[in-house]
Amino acid sequence: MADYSEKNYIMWLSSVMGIPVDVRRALIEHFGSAEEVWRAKAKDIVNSEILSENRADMLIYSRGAYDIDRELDKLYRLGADFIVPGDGIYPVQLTAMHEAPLGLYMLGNMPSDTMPMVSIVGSRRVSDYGAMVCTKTAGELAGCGITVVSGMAMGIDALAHKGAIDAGGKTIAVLGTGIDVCYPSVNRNLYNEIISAGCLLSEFPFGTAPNKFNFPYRNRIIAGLSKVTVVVEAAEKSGSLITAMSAIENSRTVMAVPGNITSALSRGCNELIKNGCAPVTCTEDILEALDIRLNKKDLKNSEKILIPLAEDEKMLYDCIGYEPITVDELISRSDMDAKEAMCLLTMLELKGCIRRLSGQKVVRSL
Amino acid sequence: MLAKINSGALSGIDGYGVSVEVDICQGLPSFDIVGLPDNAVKEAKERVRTAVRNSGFEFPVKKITVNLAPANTKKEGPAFDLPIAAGILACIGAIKEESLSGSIVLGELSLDGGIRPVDGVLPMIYSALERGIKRCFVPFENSHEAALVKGMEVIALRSVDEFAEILNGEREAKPVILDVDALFADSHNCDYDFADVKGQENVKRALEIAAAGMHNVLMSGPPGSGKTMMAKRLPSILPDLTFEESIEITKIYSVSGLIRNKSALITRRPFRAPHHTISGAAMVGGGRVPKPGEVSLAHNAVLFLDELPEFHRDVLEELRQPLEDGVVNIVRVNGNVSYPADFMLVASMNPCPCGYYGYSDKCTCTPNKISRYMNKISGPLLDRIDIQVEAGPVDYKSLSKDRRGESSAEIKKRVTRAHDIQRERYKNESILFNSQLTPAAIEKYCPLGDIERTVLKNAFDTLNLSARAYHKLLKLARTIADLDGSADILVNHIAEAIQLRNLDRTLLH
Repeated sequence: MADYSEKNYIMWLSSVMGIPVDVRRALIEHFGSAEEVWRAKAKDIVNSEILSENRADMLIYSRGAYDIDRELDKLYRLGADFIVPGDGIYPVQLTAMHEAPLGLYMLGNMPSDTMPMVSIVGSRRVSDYGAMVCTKTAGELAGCGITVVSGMAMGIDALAHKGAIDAGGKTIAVLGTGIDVCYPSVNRNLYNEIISAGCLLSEFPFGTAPNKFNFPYRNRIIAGLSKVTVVVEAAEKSGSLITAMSAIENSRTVMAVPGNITSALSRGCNELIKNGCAPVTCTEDILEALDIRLNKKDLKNSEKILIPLAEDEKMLYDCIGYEPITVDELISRSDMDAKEAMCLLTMLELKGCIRRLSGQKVVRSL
Repeated sequence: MLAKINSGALSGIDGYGVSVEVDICQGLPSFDIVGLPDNAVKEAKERVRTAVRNSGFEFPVKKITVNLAPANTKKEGPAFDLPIAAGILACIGAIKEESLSGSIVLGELSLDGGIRPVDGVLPMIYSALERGIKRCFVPFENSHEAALVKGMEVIALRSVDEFAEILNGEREAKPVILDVDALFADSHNCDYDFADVKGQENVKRALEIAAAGMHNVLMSGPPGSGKTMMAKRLPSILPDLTFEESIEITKIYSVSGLIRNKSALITRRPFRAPHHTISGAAMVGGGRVPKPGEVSLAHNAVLFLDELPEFHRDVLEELRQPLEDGVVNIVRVNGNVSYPADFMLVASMNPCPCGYYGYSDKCTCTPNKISRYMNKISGPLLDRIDIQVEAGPVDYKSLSKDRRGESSAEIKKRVTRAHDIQRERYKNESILFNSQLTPAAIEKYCPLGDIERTVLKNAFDTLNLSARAYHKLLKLARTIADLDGSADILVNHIAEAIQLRNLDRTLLH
């Protein structure tokens, strides 16, 4: 019994559901340490009046039900770690926020905090525009050595992680589930990639299912980890706005990618900008907010590699703008026949001048 | 008294001879049919009895036994009505049995003595000719179909008494003569023309390539983008049927009961578009009494499946075997039959359940819903579809354009030339088209130069192509080269082929 560290008791304390973080912290303060809370007499816990009767009962009950050995065993088998403030791994940035988690489960390696982190969040439904901006921004930030933080949800989150990983950078995913649960399950590959390119974090105990009320808690950690939170695309009532709010509450910078005023998917972002958040028009905007000054050439991805285009390739390329255009329209605009145009499209794509979007559309590469 | 009449039955799309033996002897009056008759054949008793009486003959009040030899195969359908009646009439001496020697008799009876058409006449007559039978008596409605068989004297019948009069020499039998060549030469043209399709140039081109190499196609696009319209025009750019192909299709249609005098010979490639509620048996053929399914009715032609993900999953899975083998084998306890099913699959689908994903903000489908929708089409089935092309929405501008597209006849010329090239190339192989190339044959027939190899490798690296696309790209590039009349596969052929594999690409989201 005696060989458990304080960390293990914190792990227990943070696993008791239904108790707000500040109440837990108050308990530790009252009794001196988490270990003392574990050892405290039931009567003392009730008498401390920090907890309501129900919650006190729950806490007292959980001491009997919680098997520290078993949890440590799970940690060990998964190769995960439980980190607490002051252990050298727990991100310093996070301790500065109010309601910082008592401890976090971590799978993978925490990127060094010599470079700042940037959170990129947005909705699960993404437009072509949002996807392009997100991938590009995440890639460029990661290229500058900045760690990209997001939530591994579908849409913007996944694209942000992917963008960072593809650029060879570091990324952190904060989960709303247990660290051993991959949600959504389609991101299984991404889940594994993130572990090797950074780490997964979660404050929820093993096996926690994706309950919808967990995600707002998760969002505050995403906001807390970084100095700057970038909202790429968010509808009017998007979960990413919760992240933005909690970033503002913790006096972090929130930036938003402006979108079309007609696009429902950008309404949340545009609203943020209207309320005073800085717009992101290029990756340098974010770097500036971080007080990082880089030479242009450090932005690896934005470096346009100018490949010479053949005459006919150039002609087709000129018909493609930054506004997506369907292949059919392109054919009629360029006055080429389908055979020729299809072939040139592939060549342009191979040269990286254009990108193919879903829905038979192409667009000039950013 | 005993009489033997030649008749026929079907196994798959081939006929075989059945000898209808009728014996009438003294004893308690009865009427028995033996030789594994099914219900329709058993019911022949009542039809024959009434029809014979209503044609002005005395029906014998004796013990009548009918045997359908060979006795070990199941006999189906009403085609034995007329031979049974003929046997009885021969037994009672109302007709001369000798006049039926060397003839085959087929037909269903109606109660008033009329003769009604039956299914599968063409294959039964073909097999009769092979057995050395030179004359046939068939229902009037089936006479043109029977007359397609060269060397067979076809006598069309309308009623039992007409039949008796012909046999007794009281009426002259006029054989039905059909100018098969003229019938075959008659209009191969399709009702639809690609010139009517405005815009969608890339899809039209994809369909041309599909037709040239007989590749299966999947079109994806929002509602109203003209997927069905273009699919319907596909038969118009396929090369004309040869006479053998035409007869093979006609046989299948004959067995399915879809042939009547007006359209005795199928000269155009059929376009089959079954509804998505279709059952497995209706799709690939089957049933207690096996019948050809839609895949066989689309033999040598086009099977169009609109809204592919809406089809029952098991129905789609059943397509895999015919897509691979070009033939459907139906195994039953009492024998198995096979139907040819060498068809070109053309399928269409929407990009998501509501149909507008990627095309309009209207789409409200969640990513989950979309992936569930896409997953309804299994990987193995998708593997058998070489071309995946997206059809975007058509805007007013291109609809109102005056410029007419290229006509089907023009496209057909190119496709036919590509078919000829392939036939010449594969004359020593057991295949006809590029789509049938096996991985080993691809290595042999689709060699790449150094530049081409580099481009292909590049494409795999930068465009997120999946590995399963590799062989398909080569097959498609081969077809595109054939359309171009080029012996070698060049860079532009590969580049174009890549554009035909859209679903392989993991696009941004």
